[in-house]
Amino acid sequence: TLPFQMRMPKPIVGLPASEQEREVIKELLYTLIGVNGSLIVPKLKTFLFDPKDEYTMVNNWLENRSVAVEFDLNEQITDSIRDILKDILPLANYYFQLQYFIESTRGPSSGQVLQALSEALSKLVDDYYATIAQLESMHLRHELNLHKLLFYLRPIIQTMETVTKICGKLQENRYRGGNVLTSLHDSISLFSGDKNSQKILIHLTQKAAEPYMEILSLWVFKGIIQDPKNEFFVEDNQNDFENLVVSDAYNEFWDKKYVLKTEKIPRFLEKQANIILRTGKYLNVVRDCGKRLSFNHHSGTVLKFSHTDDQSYINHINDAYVYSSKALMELIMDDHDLMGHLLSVKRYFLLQQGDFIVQFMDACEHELMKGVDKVIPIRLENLLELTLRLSSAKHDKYQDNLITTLMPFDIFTQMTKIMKSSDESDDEFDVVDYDMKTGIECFSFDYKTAWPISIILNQMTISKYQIIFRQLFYLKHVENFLCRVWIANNNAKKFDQRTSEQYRSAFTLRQRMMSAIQNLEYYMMVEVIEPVWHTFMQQISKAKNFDDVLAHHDDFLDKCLKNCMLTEPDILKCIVKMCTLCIGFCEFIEKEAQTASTETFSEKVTKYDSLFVQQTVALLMKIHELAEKNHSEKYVSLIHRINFNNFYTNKLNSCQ
Amino acid sequence: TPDSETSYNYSQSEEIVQEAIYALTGKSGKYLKKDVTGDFKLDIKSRNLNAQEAVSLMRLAETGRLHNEIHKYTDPNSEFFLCGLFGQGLIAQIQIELTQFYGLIAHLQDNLNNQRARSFTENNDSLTLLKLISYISEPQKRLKIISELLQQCKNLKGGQLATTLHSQISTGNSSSSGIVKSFLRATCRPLQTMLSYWLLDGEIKDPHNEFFIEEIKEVSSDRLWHHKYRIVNSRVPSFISKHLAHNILVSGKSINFLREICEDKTPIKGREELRLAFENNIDDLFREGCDSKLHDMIDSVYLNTSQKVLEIAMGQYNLMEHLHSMRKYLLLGQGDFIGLLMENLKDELDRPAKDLYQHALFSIVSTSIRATSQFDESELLQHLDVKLNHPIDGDKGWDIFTLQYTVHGPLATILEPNMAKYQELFKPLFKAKHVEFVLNNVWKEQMLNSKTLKNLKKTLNPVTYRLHLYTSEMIHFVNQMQYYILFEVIECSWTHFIKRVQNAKALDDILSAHEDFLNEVRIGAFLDNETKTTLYLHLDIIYDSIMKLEEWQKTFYEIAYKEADARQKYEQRISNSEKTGTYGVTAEMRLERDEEQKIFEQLISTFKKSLDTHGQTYEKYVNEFLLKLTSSKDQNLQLFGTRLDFNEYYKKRDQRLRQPLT
Repeated sequence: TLPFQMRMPKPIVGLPASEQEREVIKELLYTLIGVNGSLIVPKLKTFLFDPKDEYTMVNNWLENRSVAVEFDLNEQITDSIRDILKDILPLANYYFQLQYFIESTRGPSSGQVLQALSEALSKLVDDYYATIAQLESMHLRHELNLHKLLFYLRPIIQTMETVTKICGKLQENRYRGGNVLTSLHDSISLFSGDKNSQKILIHLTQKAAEPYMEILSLWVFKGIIQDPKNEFFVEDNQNDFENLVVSDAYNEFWDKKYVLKTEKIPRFLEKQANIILRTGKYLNVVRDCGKRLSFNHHSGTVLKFSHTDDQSYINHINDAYVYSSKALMELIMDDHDLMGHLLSVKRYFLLQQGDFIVQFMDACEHELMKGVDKVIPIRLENLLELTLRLSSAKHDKYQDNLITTLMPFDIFTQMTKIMKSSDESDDEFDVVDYDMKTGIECFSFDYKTAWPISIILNQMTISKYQIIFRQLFYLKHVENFLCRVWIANNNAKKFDQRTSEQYRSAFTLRQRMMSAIQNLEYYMMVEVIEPVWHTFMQQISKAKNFDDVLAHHDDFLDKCLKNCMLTEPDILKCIVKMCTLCIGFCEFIEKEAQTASTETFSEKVTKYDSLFVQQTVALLMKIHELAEKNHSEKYVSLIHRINFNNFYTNKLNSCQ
Repeated sequence: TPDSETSYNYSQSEEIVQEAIYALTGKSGKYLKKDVTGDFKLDIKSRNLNAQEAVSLMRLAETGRLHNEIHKYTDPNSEFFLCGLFGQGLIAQIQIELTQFYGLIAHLQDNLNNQRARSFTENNDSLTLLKLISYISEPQKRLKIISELLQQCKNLKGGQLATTLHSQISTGNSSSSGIVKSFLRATCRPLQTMLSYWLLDGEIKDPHNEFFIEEIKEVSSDRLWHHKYRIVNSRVPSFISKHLAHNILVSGKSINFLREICEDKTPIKGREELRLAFENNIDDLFREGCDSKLHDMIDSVYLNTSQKVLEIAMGQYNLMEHLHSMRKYLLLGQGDFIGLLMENLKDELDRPAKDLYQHALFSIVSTSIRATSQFDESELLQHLDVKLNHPIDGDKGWDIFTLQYTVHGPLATILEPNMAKYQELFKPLFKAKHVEFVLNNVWKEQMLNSKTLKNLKKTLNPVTYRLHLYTSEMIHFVNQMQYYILFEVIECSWTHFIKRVQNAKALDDILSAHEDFLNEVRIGAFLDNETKTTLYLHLDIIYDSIMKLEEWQKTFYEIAYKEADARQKYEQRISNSEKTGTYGVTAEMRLERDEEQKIFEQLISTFKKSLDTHGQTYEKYVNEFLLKLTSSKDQNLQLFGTRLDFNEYYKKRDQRLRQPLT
């Protein structure tokens, strides 16, 4: 708007048609670059994308509307000129809209992609200015008429229309970052018929993708996210990594630190998104461990989007992925000796080191037989340290990582809880009174790990190991107890015929208990854990990237848990009950052996006997059921082992 | 006539174009006037312009406004003028941009002049407003970017200026980021020279206080290593990471250290390469990721210089040996020396503090050293010294005696801040040792006296029995305490420290390891802020109560001996008189003797009582101490508590200790 009335245009009514045309063209050319005239008067129209927003969106009023111009033509202009003008004037509107789009997207708040697009568009507009300037020169040389003008402008009108439409779409949906690229990329194929428009669209897409690809290459080659406007599809949601490493929360690093934002992925990177995420993640771990990345091969190359040749950037990404996974594997395997850690975890948690576990059991059993609230953790720690140094475990590099803990619940409760949370079943379980537990039921090892080994040996996996350990340790304890009773019972040999007769039934029962427990142990350790471990080791030696290692490790643990029947609360309950019975029996015998034998002794033994048979049969049946459901697993062999000479067969049959 | 009409048109349009060209560089003209704020307004004269001409003029005048905006940053008289060397660099770059723009304007003016010279009739490609708009569109955008950028830099200088520019670098607009980069490069040119001066020669050339490393002039060179140079955080540009800034600081500091303190003037390795790298690759500084060649160079300079400093400190100045001997003598690492010293010093230090003389004590120290570590005696005596703290009334020699270790030359600069810590640590360690020494003497006395006082056994037995019990309790305590501090704390931290020293790449690694070592010991000896008021205080009370036992025992045995003497005399007299044949003692004497014995027995029973109260208070203190230990969060302290009370003697006797730990 001008401050005062300008000089009125000369009236064109009286002029001859050619003269009038000349005046109109002169004004038209200015109008096409957005300079108001007096014959052709623009009228601004704004409309909101969403009319309801009018009041709520006061603040971003600008973004929420689109603009268009329409033109009022002076009445003096003749009809024929008027008609041609109607064909040309939309161009002025497109120019206006485009200019509006450029202005509204050039600020830093619209993000790098839109900024780049804005710049590319404004280059386009510069070319457009040049064209109009040329047309003006022609006009000054009297070489231009409206038809000729229309002829020259026709292709421009078309491409401008296409571009304006696409910009309008971007604006309307308020796209930014990856979505802009997706939208542009899709439009390329939409306009494959129109070669000119398509060429421009490809150019625009390439330009707009430039900053995005730069972010991408920084991430893929160096593992850095340099994304101030939150456009990239990988997000770092925990910036205070330093604190994380110190605190316990780093266990979740692997899954939580870098997140893929699927809605932000540009279409042309969709297939690679996962690989891209992992590449940077690997690089980050390597860098966090203070290792220099030596991927200089590609440090100079910047990924470029290209419509025709998408292999080039995909190849670069794949190269980077291969490099980074190799670097991480080297770091974890060689520098941080993952295998050593795994072996040492196996040594302690899966009871591989026999002498250590026996010594430890001997040292701690007395303490652990107490009620759990009477156990002194420090003492356990002391004893563990002593055992570690005395047994052959002293050659283990990572022995200091092992510590003891006392869990607040026994294995059965813990398993039930875990199963319940995962299956959401309504199985009710008895709330176990914490005070009733002995130390041994709550005891477990724990394993301290340092970054980056803690990615694989995190709280989750260690707790799986712990579950297996607790089960094995408890069985070992029961076995140990039974053995002790056996030693005590050897005294009975000295008794005369009649008294030892009385003891015989007790001995056979103890023998059966022993064989059941030992077979259970044997099954878990030799038939389940060892083979699964073996395959795990083979897989790991072949693993190419770290995610494979993680997956194999999880697989190994799950298989162990499943085949050891720890994931079946029913069976677990049976086993625990059986163990408690055995312990009860042992305690009874130990106490009874001191006092004189009475009639009630044999009665009680028979009672224990029948209870034990009952429970064993129940256990066998449960396993049988399970075995029928899962043919592939190894449960059947356990049945054969416990019921080796078909001792329980009759009872089994009678139950069935 | 139409001819004059057109000629009027042409001359007028030329005039307007001329006006527009003036406006482009921000000059007022016939139609366009600048108002107070520097914006252009159409003058009243422009009535005879048509609407399109007026709008076009306004559009072109926008460029002029931008030009004026930018220009004022280079004008020394305006308030926007950029100060400092960094600002100078930026201004130079702005000038270059403006010059380019002026070139374009001159070109346009040329065109217009040519056009005027030619006759308008044959002129078919004349300059019009529309063409001007087309030509100027690109430079206008550039000016706009620059002007927006400069708005951010208002009144900034030094590192902040660089930081602000760097924060603008990541924009999707490539020409914008290009401009930012060129500006940043220009701005950082002074930084580049400053860095190369600092890294190569350790000099700071910084007339406007812009460099992020500051030399504190008042600090004398003997405190160079720790206090002379520091990083001014507000001046560090954002693209220089903390780590990098630290490396840069240490590199220059090391050079200064080598030159000034060690008087080593050999030039730095890789000097030329670094200088070249700074000239060619300054851009690398701004890049993300810190893994460029320039970063490598800075790293290698850092490694080279600190390696050199390390070599000199470790080799020429025997840093490790000094640390070793400080541990040996100040942290009681050498047992025989401290035992002997204790023995020798006993008589001196038992006297009141005021009567002590440093030289006398020093001669005792030197004899002890000669007796125990004769091989490095002369060397050691140069460093080891006795220091007497200022005595307070009632202090004994024990309270004010400390050993001191002095180092000279470069090491003094390096170790300066940690020496006070050794002093602080020496005191409790020495005291613990002293208590142990006293207790040993107490026990020795007991053993000796039990034989000599055999005659009084019957009366004394109930008391000595107790006494033995209490003494062994205390001995256990003191031994465990000694074991804990000397082995678990000092020895373990020391091995840890040595491991870190072996892996050290720079002097600072060793120094920080050393500091950590001292801190660990400090915490272990209950001297950190948290435990100082609780555990250390309790420990002190326990020690005092042990000392009191010594006094008690002294008077106890005195009395016992007196009685023993009296008895012996009495017996003597009897046997003497037996020899002479007279019956020795009169009834009076016997009565007297009986009386004395009765008094003695009474005395003993009061002693027994006082011993019992003594024992009870001691136990109370120990219980408190144990309670503090077991309730501590530190696992080592808990372990120590378990060890002190291994057979749960105290636990059984004190309700509070029995509460479960879980």
